Amino acid sequence: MSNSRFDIETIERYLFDQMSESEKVEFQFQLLQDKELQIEVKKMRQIQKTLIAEKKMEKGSLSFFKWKWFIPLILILATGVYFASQSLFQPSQSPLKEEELTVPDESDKVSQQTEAPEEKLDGQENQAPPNIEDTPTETLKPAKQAAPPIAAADPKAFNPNPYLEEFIEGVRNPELRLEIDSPGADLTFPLISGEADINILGKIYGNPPPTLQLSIFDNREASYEAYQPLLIRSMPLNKEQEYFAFRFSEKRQMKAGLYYYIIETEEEEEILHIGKFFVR
Amino acid sequence: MKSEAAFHPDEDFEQFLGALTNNGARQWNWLIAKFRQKLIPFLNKRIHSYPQWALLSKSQFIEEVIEETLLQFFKIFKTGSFSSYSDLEATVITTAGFQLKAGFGRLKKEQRIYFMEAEALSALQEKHGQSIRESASGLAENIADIKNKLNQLESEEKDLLLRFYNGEELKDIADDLAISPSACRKRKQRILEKLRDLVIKTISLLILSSL
Repeated sequence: MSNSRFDIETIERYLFDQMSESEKVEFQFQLLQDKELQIEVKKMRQIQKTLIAEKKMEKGSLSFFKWKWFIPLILILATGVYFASQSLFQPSQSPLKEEELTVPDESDKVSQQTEAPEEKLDGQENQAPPNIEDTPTETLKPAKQAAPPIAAADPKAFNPNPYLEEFIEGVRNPELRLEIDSPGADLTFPLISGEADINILGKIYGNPPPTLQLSIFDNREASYEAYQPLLIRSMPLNKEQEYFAFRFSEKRQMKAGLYYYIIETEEEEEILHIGKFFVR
Repeated sequence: MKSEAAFHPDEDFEQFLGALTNNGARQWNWLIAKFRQKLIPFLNKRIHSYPQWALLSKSQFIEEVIEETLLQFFKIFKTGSFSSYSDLEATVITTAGFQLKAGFGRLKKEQRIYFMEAEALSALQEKHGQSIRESASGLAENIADIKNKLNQLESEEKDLLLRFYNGEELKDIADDLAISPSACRKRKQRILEKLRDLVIKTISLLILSSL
């Protein structure tokens, strides 16, 4: 016998998105009023997701079983294609290979040096499409080599992310007020010898949890939508007289571009602030 | 909705706000319906590419985000001050933007946790020890419990749930089991209730602690 006072099939219909619009409205109103119903819906949603995941895992293992015989064949074919392309293109391409691998943007350098790309900071060009090779970890990693000259910066790296722009300075939390001291008014961290000294610091008023979380994203919409920050750091709060201070300070190798940062509470993941800065 | 025509909140916003504060069902239903009309296109527009590996369909994901948005809005409403209907609307839209972000984060987290085996989930939970407030370990604890309980079911029972929750018609499942659809439905209910009651108190504790 169930301990619950809620009809399991009603919750199922809600979770399966099978209710009419007016039923959804009434159900969501009930949900707002009733903590127990909130708990029931959360439980049922976890069960729903678990059951879907279990089925997918079953399917995944079956399809792997079916396909595993093709894997050696695919590997052999791929190896053949690789060697064929090596022998066909060796004379003209091979001198560039190593350079391309270590500095992905290098190939654009010559053509962009004459274009004064920084004038395009607010350009309306489309976002660069997600590039698998240009992963976030490659963009922000400990210094190993000198950065390309600023003139070689990719102008697309300065395109605003329309989604995040909409929420810059737009967060309202009546209980936790946040003030940013750095980045300053020009929102810029200078790029010196390929490194930028990133300092994000500020104050928070109210009764915050002990630790905040900082996430930094590049400007690509895809990075945010797939939630792939360049870095995530905990920021412990230090109690001052009337507020709590937070600070992130790190010297990193970075590319010139526009970056966004999100400050949220670490446990509840409640966003407190979205800001941006330039590296150039 | 039939109640929609009854309200023009800006004509007497104070009265409307008062009714909302007193949890007036008609006013809240009207408001939720209005919000949904705004939020569904708003969210659809912002979800350009919904990942194929996600557990829920895009529309189910949007409903989950709307639910979280309304719950958060309800909290803000209790403490905030509003001077017009557009103030309420702006708050709910801003909230939805953040909940969408949280939703994307949740998708990633879920991809890790729901696809782990029960033993690995238990290990994760043990690693985090007592901290039930740590969201990943709290979720891992629940999912480990659900998975363990699922594995204790008769294979026929587990199969029934898996098929139903992955979109198969109850009638087809009943045919395969050579039972009537109503018997199949009752069986599914009984198994689900067992599972549901099993999901441990973590969610309750988390929700109650936020009160």
